[in-house]
Amino acid sequence: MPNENELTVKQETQAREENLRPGRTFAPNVEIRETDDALWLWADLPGVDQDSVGVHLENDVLRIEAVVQPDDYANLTPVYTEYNVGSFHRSFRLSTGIDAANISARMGSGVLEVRLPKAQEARPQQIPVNVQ
Amino acid sequence: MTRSALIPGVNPFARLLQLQDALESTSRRPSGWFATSLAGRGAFPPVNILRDDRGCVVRFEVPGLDPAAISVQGQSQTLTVSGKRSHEGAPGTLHRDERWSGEFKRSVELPRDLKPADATAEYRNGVLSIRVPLREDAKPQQIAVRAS
Repeated sequence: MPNENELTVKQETQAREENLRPGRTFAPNVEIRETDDALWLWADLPGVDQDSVGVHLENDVLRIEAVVQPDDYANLTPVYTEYNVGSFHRSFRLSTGIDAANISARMGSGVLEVRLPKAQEARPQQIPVNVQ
Repeated sequence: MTRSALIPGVNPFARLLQLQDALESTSRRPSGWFATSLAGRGAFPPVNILRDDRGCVVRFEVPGLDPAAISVQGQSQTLTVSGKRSHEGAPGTLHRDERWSGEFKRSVELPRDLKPADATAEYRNGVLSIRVPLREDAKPQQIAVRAS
């Protein structure tokens, strides 16, 4: 059921370092799941195309950056607005060892999907129990 | 009331800044433009409404939808958008669950000079843009001047 009282206002964020260029930056909403062999992350990045998103892993910090282009707004005058547009930025510290060479990411319909496979030693190991 | 049109400039960053300021200042302004049927800020999906001399554009940020599952309806002065957004559905332990999911429906009441029934809709990069044209009799008509 539609819940019109639920707040979904886009959260503006401050990047940890000041940006070189001025302008607003937003924190994308995410869904994160963990399976035995990988971490999965989905981030809402409306208005971002495949070529304007970056995923970086450095020192166990996963960083997502995306840029939107203002072209769709050219020659239009806003008369009622509920959201603003701008870059997206968010980073996460990962507690699990990740196999960095095999991270995969794809964009579709404004959603970024990232699969972060766990390093072998971070996966659950089955310990055989010997019956005496 | 002053309204600054978004004039495309040379510098894309200046354009983005100008756009951000225009969207921000519009959001702070009380809008007598719409009837109370608009649910208001915080409802999903958020909407921006923009105008030009051809009509208006009603734009929703609604990423992650199957375009076939989006319904857009125009009836008299009301434009209604509905659909459903599901979880990605991967198995495993859920650590963060910030993405909105469920069925949604939003209606926007548009001024008399627009014709929602003739709207066209496009879904790209998670943004739904609906262009609503002016009614035929709302378009400027050239009146011929006869010499007598």
